[in-house]
Parts: sequence; C-alpha cells; structure tokens
Amino acid sequence: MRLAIVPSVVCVVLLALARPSLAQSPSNEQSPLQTFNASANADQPDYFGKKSVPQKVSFRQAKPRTRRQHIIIASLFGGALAFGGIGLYFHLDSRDASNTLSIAGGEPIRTYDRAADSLRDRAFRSRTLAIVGYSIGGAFIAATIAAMSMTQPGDEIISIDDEPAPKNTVPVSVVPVRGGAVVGKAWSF
Amino acid sequence: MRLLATALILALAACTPEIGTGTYFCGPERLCPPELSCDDTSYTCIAPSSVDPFVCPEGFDDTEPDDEMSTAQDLGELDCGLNLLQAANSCLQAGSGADYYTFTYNGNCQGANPHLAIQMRYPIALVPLQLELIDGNGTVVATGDYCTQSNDSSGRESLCIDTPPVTGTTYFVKVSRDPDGPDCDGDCDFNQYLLNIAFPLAGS
Repeated sequence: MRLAIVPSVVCVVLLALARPSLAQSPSNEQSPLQTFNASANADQPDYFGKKSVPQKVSFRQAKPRTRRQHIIIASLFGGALAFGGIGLYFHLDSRDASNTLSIAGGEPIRTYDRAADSLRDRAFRSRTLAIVGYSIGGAFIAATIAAMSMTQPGDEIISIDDEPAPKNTVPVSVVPVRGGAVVGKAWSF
Repeated sequence: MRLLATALILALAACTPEIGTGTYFCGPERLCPPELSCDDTSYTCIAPSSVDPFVCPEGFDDTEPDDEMSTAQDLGELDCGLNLLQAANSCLQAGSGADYYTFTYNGNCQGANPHLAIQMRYPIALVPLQLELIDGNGTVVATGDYCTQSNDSSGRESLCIDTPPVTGTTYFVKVSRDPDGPDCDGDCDFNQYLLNIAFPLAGS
C-alpha cells in the first residue's frame, strides 16, 4: 500500500510542477477536485447557467466580555450564592427552633424553662441573620444583574466577502482512488 | 420577582415560634415568653390580661398554725406498708414560716427494705422549697434531694427522702423556703406543694 502511494504522490507533485496554474489555484479548504474546478471555472457559468457573482455575507455576533468583567460578574454571583447560602442556613435553623418550640393551643405540656427561652432566642436570632443573609444575597444578585447590564459589550457585524482566495495559497489534495487515496501538495518556486 | 419575595416572606413567617396561651408551664421565677405572663395559681404562661394573683388552695389553713414543731400537724402513727399522707395539697403564703408535720413509728415492720418514702412536688415558677426530716431531738435526719424525672414536663420540681425509720421515734417533716432559692426579688416568695409520706416495706 505504502509502495503504491509513494509513486502517486510523486506523480501529483510532478504534475503540479508542470502546471503552475494548478498550484496557484485558490484554496478554500474544499476537496481537491472542487478546488480544481473552482479555479478552472471561476469565471464560467455554474451548472444552472448563472454566472458566479461574488457576494458579501454579513452577520451579527455578540462581542465577548473582558476577563476583568468576567471576574467581577463571577465574584458578585459568588457573593450572592454565599450570602444566600448563609441566609438559608440560618433560615432552616430558625425554622427548626421555632417548630420545636411552637404549640398552637391546648393543655400545657411543657415547661418554659431556660432551655426553652434560649431556643426562642436562637429562633429569633437566626431569623434576623437569615433576613440579613438573604438581603445581602439579594443585593449581590441585583449587583450581578447590574454588572451584566453595564458591561454588555454589544454586538459586532462580521462581513465575509465571497472573493477568491489569495492566489499564493497552495491546496493540499486528497483524492480517493480505488484501493486507497492519492495525497498531493504543490509548491511553486 | 414578586413571587420570589412572597415566597420568602411566607418562608420567614414560619421562623417565628407560635406559642399559644396556656400551653406552657412557667419556668423558674415565672419565666414565660415575652408576650405571655405567668399565672401564679395555675403556674402556666397565659395572656397578661388573664393573670390572677397567687391564691393558696382552699382549706390549706385548716391545719394552721403549723409553723413550729410544737404546733405541727399530727399525722398519727406510721403503719407498716401504708401511706400516711397522700397528695396533701398545701401552701406557704408570703411572709409565713414553715409547715411542720409529725408522726411516730412504734412498730417493727418486716420486709426487704422498710423505709420512709417522702416526696414533695412544687411549681418551679415560684420560690423553691426544701424538705427536711427531723427527729424528736430536733436533729435533721435527712434532707430532700431533687428527684425530678428528666422527662417531667409538669412544671414542677420534686424532692425525695428515702430513709429507714427507727422504732420508737417521733419524726417531724418540715417544709420551708429554700433560703438560697430565687424568689423574683421577693415578688414570688410563696408557693404551693403536694406532699406524700409513705412507708413501703420493699423497693428502693
């Protein structure tokens, strides 16, 4: 197989040397046959009889944020998560203490001793801390949204001209043949 | 956003203890949640508007005066295996002294462990009490130890005395204020109590 490819490569290289026009044909990273056809028939009508007219393709693309902006936004969001987590922790702690202590009505079934009083204090203290945590977390979320809005980089319009590739490009061709493929590359001197 | 705020408010609302009136016994020195007050007679935490001043149980003064050994309430003779006094509901008013009870033991009871079992229970909301067993010479034979069960949620403290009696002895049981106990700075220097005096022949 290797022995069969080597002569073929040599053959293609020689062919390219013999035909400079092929070596100077535009490369648009298509198959070598297409490259050859595009080069050979650039000014010819296409299959439907329409003459190839260069076209300009434009599209809108969001610009990326800078690394510094990404860090600021991530930090703000991280702060929101952290303070939200702290708020949630104290929220659950307060809820547990409250549920332990709460008796809606009926006969007395417990003594309001020092431990119960401490539990009540804990419920209210954790409630306050939960509110503080949620508030700061909410402020961080607002700041994150504001930062995302303020650092919005906007869009950019990218245009691609359908022009022939520069003429000094050199195609690399891979041509499937029966039992293998022919790989060729052309250079000009 | 509005939904989130509503959910947050509802969630935080569950973080406030809901303590209904009359659902808790008062703690030491009339301790109650701030929104409730201690009712001295029922020693429960209730709405402040419903609180009544302390009143001793009806008939508590039928045995008065019993503030000294010489005027102690005489319970008679201790019988083998019987209860001498069961759930006697009595009271120490503000400014009053101690309550004394007396009985004699002349028998010679047989059993695995014949012993005096004296128990007193009182609300912890008011001034703490103390319990003493005194012989005829005025010597303190035993003092009450705290024997409240760990899961007791009755709002009461218990004091217990367990001691074998000596034949031919006259005993006095003294109920008085704990001089070291908190009394709301003198504002709750009174209490009620339940007293049991039993004489089991076995058990601990």
